[in-house]
Amino acid sequence: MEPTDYDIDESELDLPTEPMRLAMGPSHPAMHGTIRMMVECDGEMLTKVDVEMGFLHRGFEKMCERGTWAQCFPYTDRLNYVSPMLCNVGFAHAVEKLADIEITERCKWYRVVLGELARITDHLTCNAAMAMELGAFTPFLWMVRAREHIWDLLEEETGARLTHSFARIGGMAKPPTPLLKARLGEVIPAVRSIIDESMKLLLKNRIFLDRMQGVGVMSAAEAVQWGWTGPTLRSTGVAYDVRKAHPYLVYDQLDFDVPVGERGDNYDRYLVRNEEMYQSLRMLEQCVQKMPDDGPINVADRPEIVLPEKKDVYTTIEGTIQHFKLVMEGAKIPAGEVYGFTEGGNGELGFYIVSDGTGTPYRVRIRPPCVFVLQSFPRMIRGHMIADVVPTFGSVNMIGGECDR
Amino acid sequence: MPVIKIDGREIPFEKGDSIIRAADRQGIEIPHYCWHPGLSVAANCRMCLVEVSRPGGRQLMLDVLAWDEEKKAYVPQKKPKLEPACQAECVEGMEVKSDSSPHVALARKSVQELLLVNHPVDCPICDQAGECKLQDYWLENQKTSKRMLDEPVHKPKAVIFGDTIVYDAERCIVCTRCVRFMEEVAGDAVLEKRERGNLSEIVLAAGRKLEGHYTMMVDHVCPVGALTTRDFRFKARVWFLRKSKTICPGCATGCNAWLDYDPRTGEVPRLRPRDNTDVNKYWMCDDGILSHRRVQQDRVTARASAGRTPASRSRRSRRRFRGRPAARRQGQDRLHPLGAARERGQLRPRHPGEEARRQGALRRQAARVGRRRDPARQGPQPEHARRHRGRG
Ligand code: SF4
Ligand code: FES
Repeated sequence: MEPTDYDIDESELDLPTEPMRLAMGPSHPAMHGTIRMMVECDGEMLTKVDVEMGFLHRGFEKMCERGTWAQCFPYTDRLNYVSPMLCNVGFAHAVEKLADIEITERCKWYRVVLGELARITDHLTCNAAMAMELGAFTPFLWMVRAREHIWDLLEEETGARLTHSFARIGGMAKPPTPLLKARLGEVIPAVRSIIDESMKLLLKNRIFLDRMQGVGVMSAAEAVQWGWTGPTLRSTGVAYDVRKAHPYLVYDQLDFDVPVGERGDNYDRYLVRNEEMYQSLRMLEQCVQKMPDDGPINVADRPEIVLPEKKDVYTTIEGTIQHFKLVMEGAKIPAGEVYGFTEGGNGELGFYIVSDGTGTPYRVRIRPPCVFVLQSFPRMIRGHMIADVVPTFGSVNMIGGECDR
Repeated sequence: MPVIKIDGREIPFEKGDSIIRAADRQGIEIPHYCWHPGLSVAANCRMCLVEVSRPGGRQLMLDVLAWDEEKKAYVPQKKPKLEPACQAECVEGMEVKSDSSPHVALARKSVQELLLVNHPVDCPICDQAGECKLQDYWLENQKTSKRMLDEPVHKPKAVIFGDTIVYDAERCIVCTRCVRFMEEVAGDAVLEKRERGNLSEIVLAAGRKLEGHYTMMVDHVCPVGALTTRDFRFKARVWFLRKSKTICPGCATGCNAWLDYDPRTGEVPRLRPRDNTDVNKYWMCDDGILSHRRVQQDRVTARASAGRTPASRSRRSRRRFRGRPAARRQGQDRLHPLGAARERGQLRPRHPGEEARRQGALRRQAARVGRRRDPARQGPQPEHARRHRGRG
């Protein structure tokens, strides 16, 4: 959309103007996750944008150095809090890589199921919020309805809607409920039809299209240089997805496509996320077919890392000792360092962890995918108008807990 | 110095050393329960079994039947006869396999399993939990669960051994360290072992109780939670405590001690001996162990000066303490009477002001007593009181 009043020259007197500085955030409804943007504008046009992150600093990495390895899981829930299960699984994945644990087949499928459910909620939230910030409230409510379906299912499985703390080193807190597959059979079609409807609401809407198309463009080459990953990178046309490029869990046994965009603008990011939800639903359908119905969830041969069963804890001294040692001192992860990475909601979610062989992490460093997208925000928005900050910021899907950690 | 080899590593030894002592001096731990550096060798727990070959000597081999997974049958096999490292004496050129031998690993695992067969599920209520050898060695050497599913043997619990010590026969592994301590160090053979096998337990000599100046040490020689002091029992969980090096303030011997304190409250629930062969060896007397009480009793913890509200000293010092960097706060290696406590400003030796306050209190008390005794101030005394005083 071209600014209409840009060339109008009302007076002959050319008054010298100073750029106006405007602070958006940190407490601004559209700056979700508490971000401040200092924008300099010339009229409505942005001449300079300065992104300040760090208002939500929780000290995630430092906190991890205080507890045991298992006590990090609740912290990871609060990284990307719209898809906590993916962070749970990502952290478990990294620690298992360091401790050289091969998790059980059933656990792999279970993690994929819960992870893909979480991915759908992540993308639903992002797209819904993006539309809402453009004034389209109905699509927001519509998509959040789909999210409710998934959260209900996740709650049935894990006991919590959002902060599941469900993954464990070497397995999961609990085995799948007997109803999992039946419930997936209900939830998948319900979510699919809601996504269909929400697309109908938006994709013919002139306002939505005008505000999204051609705004916040990023080229593929530059996106790679900035370190983008995930849906935002794919929207520029680069088909990098950790699940395909470095398959983990059982992603190599699943049939799914990696959608890519063409121009890397807001609209493409929206579409890529939409398509990824369909792909996740496709994977879930395959999981219903292929996931084994019985078998252990936790690895059996690593008693120094995996908690014993509760019935043993309460009735045998060996179980009590094992429980005591693991809870009070923590599982001793072999000394070394490792970078474990998975496809999180926003892209490559990496944990660089260092162990000195004790029950407490020596260092946990996270690679939060949205930091890399957010840092290039000034580059994406330059030359656009103030109002474009909002949908573009929405399409970045900055999650404060993960970005500022 | 002559050397032996343990797992390929050269270990110097002095004449007469056992393998475990030579290893211990070099900081190598061979798992053990009944051996204590300050006591005689009993070699009854069998946890320290190692594979030993002596120069020129032939290794003794035993015929055993071992399960063969492929043949699905027991097949005859040979295995080396293991020896207790706490008893086998070092000789030049001896080669010992400890962690590197599968036979030793199996022996440790089996011994550990047997020791736990009748052990009660007590960790949650046991004061030893967190510093218990049974827990440590289970994780290091066993890692499997029980195979015996029968009801364990039940024995007396919470037996009062004396004014200081409580005994739990179910937790006892009958290593006899406590028996040997009382006999050899305290010189009062008041503890003894009765019965055999599953049924054995430690009892008091007939008609006696555990008394004297060295009773609390039995708690510290006990590798498990069978003996606990009535002083520390149920007072704290050890994983909440931090330790700091200290010297016992009890007498001029200056026994080296560990001061265990609770960083959250600033309390000091116990003092325990710290090895120093030149001063106190491994031991401390009851008075010394209990001196932590004296240091905490009757301290000035509130400030009351004219026109000010009293501020809690302990809360203030705790606040000050909280802001310190973790490395200093742990302060574990500081050597000072009452170590880290001094750093927190709470448990330092008595301040002159505290002494002055006590003296003042004493003076006031004396004055009150004096007043009561002064007949001029109190008027005529009843007859019987005067008679009583006259007699005394
Ligand atoms: S009470 Fe403790 S020291 Fe005494 S024999 Fe039993 S386990 Fe050994
Ligand atoms: S330590 Fe008990 S037998 Fe050697």
